[in-house]
Amino acid sequence: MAKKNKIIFFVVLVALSVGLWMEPAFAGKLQDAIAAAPTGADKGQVDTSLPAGFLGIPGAPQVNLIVAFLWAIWVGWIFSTVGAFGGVMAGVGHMSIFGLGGYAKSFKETAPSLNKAITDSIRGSNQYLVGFSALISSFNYYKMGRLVVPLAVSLGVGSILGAWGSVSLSAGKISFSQYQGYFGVFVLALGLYLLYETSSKGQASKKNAKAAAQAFEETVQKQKSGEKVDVSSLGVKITKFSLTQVCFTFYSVEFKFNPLIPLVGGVVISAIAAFLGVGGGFLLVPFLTSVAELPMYLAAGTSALAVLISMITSIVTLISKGVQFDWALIGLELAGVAVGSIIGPRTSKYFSDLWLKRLFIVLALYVGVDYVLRGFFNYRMFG
Amino acid sequence: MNSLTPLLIMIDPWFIAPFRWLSPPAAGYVLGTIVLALYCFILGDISAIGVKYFNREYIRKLQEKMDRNHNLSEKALKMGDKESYKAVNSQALDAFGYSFSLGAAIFCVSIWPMPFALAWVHMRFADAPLELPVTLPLLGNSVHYFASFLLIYIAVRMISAAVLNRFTGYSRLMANLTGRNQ
Repeated sequence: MAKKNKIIFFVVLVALSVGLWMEPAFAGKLQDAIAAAPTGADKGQVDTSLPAGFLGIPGAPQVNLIVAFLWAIWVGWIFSTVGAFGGVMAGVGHMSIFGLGGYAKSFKETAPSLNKAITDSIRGSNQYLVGFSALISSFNYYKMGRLVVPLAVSLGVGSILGAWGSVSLSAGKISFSQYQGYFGVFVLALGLYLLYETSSKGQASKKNAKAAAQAFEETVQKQKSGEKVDVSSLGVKITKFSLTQVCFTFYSVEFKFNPLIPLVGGVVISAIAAFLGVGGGFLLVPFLTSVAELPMYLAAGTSALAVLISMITSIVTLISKGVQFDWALIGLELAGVAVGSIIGPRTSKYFSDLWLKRLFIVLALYVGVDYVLRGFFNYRMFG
Repeated sequence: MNSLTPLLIMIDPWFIAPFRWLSPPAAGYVLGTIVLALYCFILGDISAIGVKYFNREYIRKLQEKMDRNHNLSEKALKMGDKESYKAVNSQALDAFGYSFSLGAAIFCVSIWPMPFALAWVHMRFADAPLELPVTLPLLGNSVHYFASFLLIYIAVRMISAAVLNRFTGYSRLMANLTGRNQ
């Protein structure tokens, strides 16, 4: 790792240490919420005669560990073959498959603070499952020293503001229904984007890019200049730096960007990711390649810092708000993800890329519409 | 099978032993946590190596595709052909998307023992924060189990990885599995 990267990494670690240290004793908040909830065997009451379930709440759903493990295998399979949809499926598992969403919702009128505490734990669990994972992938590129520092700083500052702001403003305040509704909106948007990607127009632009790339490769081969480029040379030189424009050259080609755009992008992407607990790292790299037209490895390295910062900020902020987690359940899910990621690449060759995407479009549209209706309008399509 | 508590109770004697190796409670807690973090790192790293080994061909293929397109995009830049650069870069980005999420899954694999350890630490030390001999400004004189475990785990993971990477065999194995030129 380059010296400046080590310094940045050390500063981030110190910030994490201080943040974690300053968190209050966090068992109290959930216990207070449980104590404030009415007791009894009816809906919306804590049944103290039953054994402790999720988060140690008496009468809460006992998550079926076999179902949780199998669902996590499915999440791992998606992670290792399709990509970003893994985070969405992790969320669907926590909300619908394990029955935690319905349980949180039952306290909407009777014990709002318990409803919100369970909601925060659900989105925090998603964050652990998918947010952490985005970290290391991009960190590998960051270690190569391939980053545009002003862009990384701009994106990083935006990420801190976005992650801290969205979690601070919403922790302990958002009900399960609201969370489910917004989660639905996000999944619906993802489904519509996938739909565009698989449409003839979306496919055509991909085909054009592929054809242009192949044509260039052939040109290079004809010129017999296809020797390996030295990937260790960074080649980034900042030529102009102001509040409204940063110019840099990469292999003598000039690139320009307005530092305010990645700042705003960092805020928006990190805020959405922290609010929903869906990672967000996968959105940053395409954002950087479209905004600053960065080469892929440079975009990955540059976004790594932002992923790291937003991840740490949102987790520490959630914990400092007194959110509790069912560690054993998260551990079991990670073990399932492990199994799924072994199976994934070995089985994905039996499915065409296009049909896999179409399957996820159907899933995304179904989950998105269902969650929006349930969350915002309390209307169930099925069940 | 609805709770992992019996499992945590079963491994409790084995996990708690290192916490009793030193008599001062704070020193015993720190040493015990270091040993526990080391268990997590070793088990997680072996699991991650296993996943990489099972999928080594797929990982190499992705890495090769990314490297090839990336090198080509740099070549296009050198030639001043920005249109070709954009086209090739979009291909590299496509491969990166797959590599990114697979890398994410493998990272999940490498940390899977950690939440189980946290569940056990929660069971044992939720009501017993680590008392420090000094009071630090802003931070106070006690650290809760989550903060102390996570910070020690990160330190153990970084030091262990740095030590292992000094062994040529280990770094060569990693380079082989991922197809990266290290």
